[in-house]
Amino acid sequence: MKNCEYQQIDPQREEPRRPRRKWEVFPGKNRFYCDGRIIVARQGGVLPLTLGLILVTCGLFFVFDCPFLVKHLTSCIPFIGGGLFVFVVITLLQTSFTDPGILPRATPDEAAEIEKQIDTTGNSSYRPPPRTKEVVINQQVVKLKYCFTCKMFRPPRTSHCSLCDNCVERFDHHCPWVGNCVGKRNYRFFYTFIVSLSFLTAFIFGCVTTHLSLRAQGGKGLVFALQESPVELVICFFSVWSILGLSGFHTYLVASNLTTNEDIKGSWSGKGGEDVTNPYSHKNIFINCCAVLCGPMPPSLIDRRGFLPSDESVQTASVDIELPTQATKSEINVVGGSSQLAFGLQESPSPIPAPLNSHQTRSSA
Amino acid sequence: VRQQPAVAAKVFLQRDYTHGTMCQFQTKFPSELETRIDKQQFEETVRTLNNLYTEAEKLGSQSLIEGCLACLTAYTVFLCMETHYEKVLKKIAKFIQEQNDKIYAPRGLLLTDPIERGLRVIEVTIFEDRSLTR
Repeated sequence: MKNCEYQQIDPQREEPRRPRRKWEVFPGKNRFYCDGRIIVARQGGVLPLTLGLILVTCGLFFVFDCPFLVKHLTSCIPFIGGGLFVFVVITLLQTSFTDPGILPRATPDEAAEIEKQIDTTGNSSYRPPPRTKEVVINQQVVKLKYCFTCKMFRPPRTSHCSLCDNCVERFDHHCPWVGNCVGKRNYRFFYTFIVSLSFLTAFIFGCVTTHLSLRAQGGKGLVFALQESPVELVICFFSVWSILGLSGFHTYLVASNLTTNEDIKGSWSGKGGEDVTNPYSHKNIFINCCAVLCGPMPPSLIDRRGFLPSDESVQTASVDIELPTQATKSEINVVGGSSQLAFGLQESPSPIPAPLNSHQTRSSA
Repeated sequence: VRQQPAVAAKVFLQRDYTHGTMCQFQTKFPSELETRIDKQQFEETVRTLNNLYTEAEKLGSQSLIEGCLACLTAYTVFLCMETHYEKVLKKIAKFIQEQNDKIYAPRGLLLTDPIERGLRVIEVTIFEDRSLTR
């Protein structure tokens, strides 16, 4: 079976083919659109739901509340609402479509070098116990863990997201509402999104209650007024408390230069009785906020749109990487399909380029 | 048929995390390079690279202004403007190119720009001695 597959692929490789971009052979579970400009996690999560909720609530607001409030209060209302709405949608899309700070996997040479440095027992038939390396950062001992998938020691504050199958720098959490990981590069977008969303939901909630109270005063009664706009009220009521809570929590994290991951694990809370402090904090709330939100924007390390050198496209098909890459590419094929792995196994005998091309034409809308 | 000389070994300089997550590389001189290049020269190169990365990630007034302006425009300026970090990365690429041309290539060595390795390592490729043409 294996020999058959090998022979099928070999002749394909020797044909001169158009230069491929790096996103096409990306090993993580991500999807790419617009020829690598847009990156999302493979599982879309509930991003359409988030967008839908925002659009529906704002739509109802503009249709039902604005005319009444413009007449009875002030005409700035739709402008403020419109401005906040645009801000929220833009920051949401940026959070979802930006590379969160994915670390590219170690090259085979690097991985071999690291293996050489750690392992002296020579027994490779089972997975060795987890490897750690200790470094001292600002007088604080930090343990760096070895990532078996990416074959490297993770830098401090980096964590491997199992949903996206990538190591992400300054990993905060994987947000299903946004459909992407939140990490070093898109944390500021995420923070701006939840803060502006808090303002938007609070604003709409305020407008709706004002509208209802004005109508109730008008004589027809509160119950009748309530019947006219129940959807908005329900969505806003629940959103306001949860989003405000989340914004408050993240403001605390920003001010102390912590990530959700570190806070949940209690990395710097001194549970062991030792004197542990956060080594990354600048010990000043203002500087911490500036560093996290207004610091220089780090570049994307995965170079999605770069071209593969012609010899590297041969190297990437080495035996240990080949099978997972095949499976991933077949999975990408089945966008929203039901039994992904079964379908992938059926697809594997077919040559690789064809499914990729069909994926491109389908998703480069 | 490629005319590149054969690769004898590769040395990797790892990141130095003693001052936090800022991009800095260890300046320890690898023993494999002892026969090829002067220790001072090599450490000078790495130190200059470290300084350039510090400049890129510096929390100065320019980056603050850039950050605040970006926030006010819902970060859409990032789509049209080249960030300070990207400008410094171009400087770094040019610096590495110069160093390779002037110092490392004549000694049969090649520095790989760390950005091509995800800013994890500085990769130094050592080519075999017999391929040096004089």
